Amino acid sequence: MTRFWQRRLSFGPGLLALGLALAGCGGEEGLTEVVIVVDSDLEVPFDIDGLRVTVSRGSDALQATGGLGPGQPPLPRTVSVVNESPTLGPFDARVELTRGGRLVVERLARFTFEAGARRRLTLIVPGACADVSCTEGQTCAPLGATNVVGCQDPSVTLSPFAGAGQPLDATPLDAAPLDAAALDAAALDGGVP
Amino acid sequence: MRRFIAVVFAAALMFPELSVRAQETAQEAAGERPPTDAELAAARARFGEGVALADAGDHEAALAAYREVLTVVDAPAVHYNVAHSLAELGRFAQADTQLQRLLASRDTDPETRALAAQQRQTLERLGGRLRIHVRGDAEGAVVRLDGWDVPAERRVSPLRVSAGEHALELVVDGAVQDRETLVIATGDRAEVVLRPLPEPEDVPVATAVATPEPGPAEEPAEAAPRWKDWRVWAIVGGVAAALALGIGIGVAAGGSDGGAATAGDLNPGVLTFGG
Repeated sequence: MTRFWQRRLSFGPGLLALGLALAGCGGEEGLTEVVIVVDSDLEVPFDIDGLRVTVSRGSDALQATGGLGPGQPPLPRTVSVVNESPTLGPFDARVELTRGGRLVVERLARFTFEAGARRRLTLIVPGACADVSCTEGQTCAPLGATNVVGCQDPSVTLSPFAGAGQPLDATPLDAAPLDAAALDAAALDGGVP
Repeated sequence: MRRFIAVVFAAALMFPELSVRAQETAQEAAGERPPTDAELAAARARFGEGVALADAGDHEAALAAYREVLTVVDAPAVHYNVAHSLAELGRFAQADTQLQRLLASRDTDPETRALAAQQRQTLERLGGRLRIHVRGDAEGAVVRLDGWDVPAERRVSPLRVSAGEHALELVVDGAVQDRETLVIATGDRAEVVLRPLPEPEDVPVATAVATPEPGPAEEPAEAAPRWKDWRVWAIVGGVAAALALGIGIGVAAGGSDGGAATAGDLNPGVLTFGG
């Protein structure tokens, strides 16, 4: 079989998936789910090479892990949390980004499922949070639509689910107003002692 | 700038014994000859020239000087100054790669490490980010950004790039197979997809039109209409069949369990409470 036909036949699974997705639109009722999407401005694999997501309620805790780097899916990464228990929440999600097994930065989120609904929880873990220590019951996160981070309550509002592949451009970090100064020597020297 | 350069230059002057010893050990392990005293002296002098050139604003010449020094002394301060000159020249992606390696290296002293971290923040503040995807069968493909071959490991995460126009090329076996030009503004998050050319055997025969020999009595030859090609209809039929099959399976599955969980890409991809 030539590569011409190999490539065209490879459309088959994609179309099958498309069909399943289209059909799945009508079958969503009854599923209580939160899709956690994890992203970061840290560099892979230099700054981070792994991530761990732990979702818990009381003593019940479930964990998902993944590697970051060559041969692994790039950020953002996702994990689905399905709730078949009668309790909707609150649940705690802890995202830990690691390098060589050591924690680099983490972020917490507290959320409550919505019965029979699929929701999305986007957790941006800014590298700047690595230098921030928060008190018990708080977490470091971007403050509103800026690239400034700070400690805040971990409670979050879930978003409508519009697919796990939502681009990073939609996140608060990327919507941040940045300095538009032209590159010049003074600007480059500004932060150097 | 003078102050910055002086800091690094001073660091370079302070660590020669340590760095040269490490250099010698590495070179001995690699079976290479350690630099002679004369070579080291020349490298130090050349480093000083690089600093002076950078101070005068001639970063291209400074870069050349630092790279000469690196052939003799592989020291963090030299790498830092390489990154600094690259940044001044607007080659943020290359500069950032140098800085990342400095930060990842255990040989980097705390002072140079702090400077490297600050320089990365400056690049972040002044530039944008570019994520490059290479689609299709592109084994051995090289991605070239503004003439620089992007290391394979840097294609995994977004590159920091300067604000302005950038040229991207996908090179396979020495031939440019795809080319993109894009303008990045400060703070932009851009993504670009490069695709290798299809191989000759991938091109359907119907699209390859033979050029007719010029002749006064001949009508110009026309390409066979694509709709007459049986392969087009075979593809259309296959598409319709796959779509119908998918919808059928999906409806059946959806009707039985009320919808499947979204498959994540961690391990496991789905966490279930109370299941």
